[in-house]
Amino acid sequence: MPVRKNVVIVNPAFEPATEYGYPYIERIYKNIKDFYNVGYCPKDDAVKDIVWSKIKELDPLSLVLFGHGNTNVYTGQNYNIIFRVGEVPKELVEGRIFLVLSCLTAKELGKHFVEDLGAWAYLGWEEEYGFWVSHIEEFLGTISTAWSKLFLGELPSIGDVYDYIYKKYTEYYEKYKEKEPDVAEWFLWDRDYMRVIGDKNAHVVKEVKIYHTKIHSQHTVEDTKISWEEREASVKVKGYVEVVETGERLKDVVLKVKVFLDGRLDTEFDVPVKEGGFDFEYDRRLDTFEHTIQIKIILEGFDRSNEVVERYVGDEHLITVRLPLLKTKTKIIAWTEKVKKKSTSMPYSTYNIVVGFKVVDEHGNIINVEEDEFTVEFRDATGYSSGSVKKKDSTFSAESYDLLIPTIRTKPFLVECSITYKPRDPRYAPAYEVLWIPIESNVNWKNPTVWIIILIILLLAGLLSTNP
Amino acid sequence: MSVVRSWSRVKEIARKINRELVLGKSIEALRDLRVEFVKAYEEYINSLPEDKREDMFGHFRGKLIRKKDIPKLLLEDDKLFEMFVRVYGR
Repeated sequence: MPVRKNVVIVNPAFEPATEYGYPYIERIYKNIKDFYNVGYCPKDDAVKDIVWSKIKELDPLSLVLFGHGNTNVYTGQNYNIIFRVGEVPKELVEGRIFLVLSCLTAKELGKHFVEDLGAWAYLGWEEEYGFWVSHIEEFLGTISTAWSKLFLGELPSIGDVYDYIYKKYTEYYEKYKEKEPDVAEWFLWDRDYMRVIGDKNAHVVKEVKIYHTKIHSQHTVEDTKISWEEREASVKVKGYVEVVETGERLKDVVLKVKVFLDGRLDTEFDVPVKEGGFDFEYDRRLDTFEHTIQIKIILEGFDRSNEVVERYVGDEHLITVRLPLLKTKTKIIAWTEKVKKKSTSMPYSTYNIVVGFKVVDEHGNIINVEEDEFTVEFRDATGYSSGSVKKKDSTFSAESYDLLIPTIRTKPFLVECSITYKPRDPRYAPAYEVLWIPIESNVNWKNPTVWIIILIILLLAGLLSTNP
Repeated sequence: MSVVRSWSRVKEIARKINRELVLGKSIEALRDLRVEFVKAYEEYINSLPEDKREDMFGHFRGKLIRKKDIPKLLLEDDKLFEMFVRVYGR
């Protein structure tokens, strides 16, 4: 009894006609390879010895044959004769379905296969199969699609395959009969000499039932602080996979689990689904900062088949766990203590700024820290420079070095002062604060003297440009 | 000449040849009709846009042929001639 799940595909490519056809047969292979055990014989493998041994090895229910042919012969790579009337043992043919894209083979070879050797069905052409390269998708693409559909259960029988091609080729004839009648006539010719010999109800897949799946889960999180620096996080997940259409629980499948930590893939593993469902645990040692764990549970689609194919459409399920900060939150409170102009020149004047600050916890209590746990930076008109930090009782002061500020300021200049606290004590979380210190505008537009000066500058500039 | 008109001429001659072949005449005996068919087919091809004349015809018994080379081959290759007459003369 030929095996329904096994297929042999013969796909030669050695001269222009077969090279044009090759991708369309390969497309069938690609369409069905996930669902069938395919004995694929491309190019140099499309020869008698290999094809015959594949048939003996796989005992396939169906064969897809492509290549040059004649009434009593089918050939593969470099016209290697694979089947010839009178030279084929019955066991290679009996009970099988043959889909043969070749010229003339239905005339004698197909009949011989069905009537003398007991093939279940044979779809082929009784005359030359002709095609135009400019319309190859419509000629060969239609066949490729129809034959794939037979394997995927979308066309139940070989008779339906015949009808599908017949209908499509008729449509293409109608489409091209005015503009390219010589091309259109070939659609009619190929349509009319396509033959199904044997049982038109022959089928590869009896029926395909589509089932959708849904992953259900529950999870618990244990987040244990081992120290101020380290925690042990554990997410326990259990659940089941429901078949939406029947409400049954799916078993004997494998889920893929991908765990993302703060958006990056941390680990992946497989989880079997058994009678009662599935369960797994994700354990991780982490620091005590905030983290996000995302667990993606994936069931890929699959087929279960014998006489009837049950196709299960997969599902994806996401669990998100947020681990909180396990340190004491801190905050910097900062203020300006002193802004002092040191010198005036053009275009910049130098200033000296002193800021004060303290660090408090979430309840407002001052935290006792040291100078070297801070970084203070000032930004003037030219860039960043660091400041020196001094401790005064429980607060701090940071003094800038000489800051360069534009001497003429039509609007306030903002000096940026950033204070970063990197605690040595693991109990505390870092903190960051930015203080904007304005150096006020020094141009009074209401003062007529300002306008007179601007006028003089403009006049001088004009004189210089006219008298070089 | 238009595509439709030149094509109807091709079909008309192809049908004539086909009928004669079915009645048992040999290809050699149909030489004049063959030349007429080839001329009509050539005229049809010339009525097509330039790019359509470059199209290729293929089948799984022989080689690929450029459309504009088909008329010449129809005079030389009996099998090809018979095939085209059968397809177009139905």
